[in-house]
Amino acid sequence: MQDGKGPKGYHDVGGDAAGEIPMVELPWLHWEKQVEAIRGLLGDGTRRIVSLDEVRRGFESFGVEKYNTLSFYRRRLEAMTDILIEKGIVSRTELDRAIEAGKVRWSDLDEKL
Amino acid sequence: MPHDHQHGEHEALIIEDEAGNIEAQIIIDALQQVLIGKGLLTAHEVTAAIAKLESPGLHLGAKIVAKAWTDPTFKSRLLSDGRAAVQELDIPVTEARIIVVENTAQLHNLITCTLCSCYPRSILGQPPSWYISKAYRARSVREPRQVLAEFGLDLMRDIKLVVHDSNADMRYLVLPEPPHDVERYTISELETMISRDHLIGVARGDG
Repeated sequence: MQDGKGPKGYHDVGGDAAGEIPMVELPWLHWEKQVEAIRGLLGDGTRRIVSLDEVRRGFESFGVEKYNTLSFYRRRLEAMTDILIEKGIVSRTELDRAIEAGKVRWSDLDEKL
Repeated sequence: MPHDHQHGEHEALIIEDEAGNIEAQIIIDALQQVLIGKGLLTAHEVTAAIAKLESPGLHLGAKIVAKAWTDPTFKSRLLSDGRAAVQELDIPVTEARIIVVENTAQLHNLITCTLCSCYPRSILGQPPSWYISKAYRARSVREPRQVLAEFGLDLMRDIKLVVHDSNADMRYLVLPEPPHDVERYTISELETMISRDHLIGVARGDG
């Protein structure tokens, strides 16, 4: 407990000591846009499958180690996937099967390029 | 695997390396395929949503500010209900609330999000990498004048500085001060004076 207000979450960094601000503007990659696009669609008024608050709850509770090693959009991807699995909308098995098939496609592509 | 993107003494920004980017692309493709298979979305919807994410940009923010600089009644509507006023300009707003905070000769506003990365995305697009960095999130509320100095803005001591911490339901937007001779310019000339950084508050212009 801190100040009787309960423990501070690892995402709650306001006021922490930190170094210089990295003055970089990195390109927004396709997969990152795709994560945002799908998150937006799953949370829209017609679907309401996963909300932004649920995605936040996902990455704010999946542990500080994971939080601090995953990039910004990777956190969102992992959290969105966790929530979809938690709600029984997709299963880990079917997702893993699709990931394996994707890896095969990518390695085939690698050989062709 | 993700790794730290170090720049000398700068705070690490966690980014994916090439293998991490490919891995993430494979995972999101797989997730998309599974969701399509269940009829929860279509590939066309995803493509259209990506196009929409790419479309907002600085000009939307500049359009709002130039309108506020030249139309006092719009400006007062913008300050009282940012979301409704922005939508008057045919800019679709996906955020629940947009709160516009006005810079004056005595007051400067700075926007941050200490918990996450909340940002007026429907107006300004994706936040820049530094905005989502831990260093900006952590320090903007503790030593904002030092942070501004790192952006090249030495705010005079007699100007009050207010820092606004955004959240999922409330996104802030800074209304910069107009140039003192605002009436001499056309709308499009005014729009070119307004940068994204003015609307976040890490730049102030010479108003």
